[in-house]
Amino acid sequence: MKNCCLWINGKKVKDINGIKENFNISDVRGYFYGGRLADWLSAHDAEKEAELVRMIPTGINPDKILQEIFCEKKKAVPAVIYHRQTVKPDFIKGSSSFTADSSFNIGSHKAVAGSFGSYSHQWEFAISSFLVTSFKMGSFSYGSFNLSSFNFGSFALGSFSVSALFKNGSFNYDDFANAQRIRDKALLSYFTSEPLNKYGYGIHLI
Amino acid sequence: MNAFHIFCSSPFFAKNKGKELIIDKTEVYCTVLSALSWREKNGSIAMITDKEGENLFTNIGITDIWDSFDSSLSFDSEEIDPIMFWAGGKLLALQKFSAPCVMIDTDFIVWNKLTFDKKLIAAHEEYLNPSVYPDINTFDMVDYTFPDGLDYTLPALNTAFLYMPDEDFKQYYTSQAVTFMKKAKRGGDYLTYMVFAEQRLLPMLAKKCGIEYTTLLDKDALFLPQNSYTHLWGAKQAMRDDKTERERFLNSCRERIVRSYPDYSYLIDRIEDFYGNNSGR
Repeated sequence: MKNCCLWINGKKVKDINGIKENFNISDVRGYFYGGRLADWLSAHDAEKEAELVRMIPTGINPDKILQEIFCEKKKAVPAVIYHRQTVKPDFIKGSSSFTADSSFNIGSHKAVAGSFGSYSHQWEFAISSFLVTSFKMGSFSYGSFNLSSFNFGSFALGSFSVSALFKNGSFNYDDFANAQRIRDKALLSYFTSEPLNKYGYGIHLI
Repeated sequence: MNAFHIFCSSPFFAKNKGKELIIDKTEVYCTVLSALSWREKNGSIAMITDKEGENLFTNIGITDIWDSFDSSLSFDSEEIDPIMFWAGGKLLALQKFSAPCVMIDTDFIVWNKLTFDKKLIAAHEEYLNPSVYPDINTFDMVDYTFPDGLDYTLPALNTAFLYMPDEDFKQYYTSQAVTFMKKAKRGGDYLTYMVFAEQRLLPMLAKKCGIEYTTLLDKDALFLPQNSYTHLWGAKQAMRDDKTERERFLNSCRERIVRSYPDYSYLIDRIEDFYGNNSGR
């Protein structure tokens, strides 16, 4: 921390005057609980304030004392205390299991991996196109094609161009079907070559 | 670029009181490949751990994979709930390790050479799925105010890989994350609090400070073919559930070590001896 600047109220400060001029309780409290505030003050010619910080007893709310140390003449800003009931997400409440087969439960993924929820949309696409369950190419006819039913948001952008499926602004079923077949084949090959890639990524590289 | 792995034993002992510290063999092999690949392509890598972690890795016999070994990590379980904040050791280690630096999870492997500039780099963004990243008002905190000036619409950043170019911001981020961990009421759920401290605060604080960031991977293309990064992630649980997949993965790791890092092939015998002699592991 010796050569380090502090970020206070969105500004980098180099000395105690910077803390005083930009005082923000949540930022200063962060450095206090992070355990580095007193050392930083000592290293930046503010030994008196460093000692005061060191004297703050553990187990108490330090906000008022920190405000007294750094903004003697400023009116103390009352802290908004968040003290709400913990809400446990549904997927944690349940006893969903994590299965290794291709029809794994997306919901259980979230509980295990921490944030697999982020990727559920990709698997919805992947599973549906591989297993041909909800995504049935054959069920689409030229005249009744409905863009919204495809949910383009679930396709990976960048590697899948919607515009490439259309010629001169009109829908071409053969192009679409070919693009789907090529993509599905590539993905199917990728995932079947390393089943664990369903749960992480790049595992085939090992 | 200087990088580091972290292993913190506090969450294990909080959940397994009185038991001997263990780590799954799949994670050991991935750790080996993660360290060796980083050293081959990108520079030095250290292990930051505690005394118990040092004993474990010494007993397994794999300490050679790191350039240096620091067993001074201190996780105060009285101040931070080690079950809620099972990855809190990462934040404490990051606080200690001088920037610029890269923090790599032991289940994350970088296979190519990276270039670094002034931008912070995380593994990838994550959507703000409310079951993982709920509204902050759902957090049960004690005498705590959230930092002001944060943009709560920003996607979270997955920190399985994290390049920190700037010491000042690193200290700010870790201080805020540690504060959140210390002020969370004990006994909360083990996911939403942890990922808020580690992965959601990061981009919001970066934006507040005007720190630019980028990612290794596009969040919308994580599961599409690429040749640069491995992240076991949920596969660890999948392998615990499926012994066949587990054995296949272990074989792949052993073959990769022999093929790409033959000078370290002796590690395979050490690992197998350790786990062979400790059937409970």
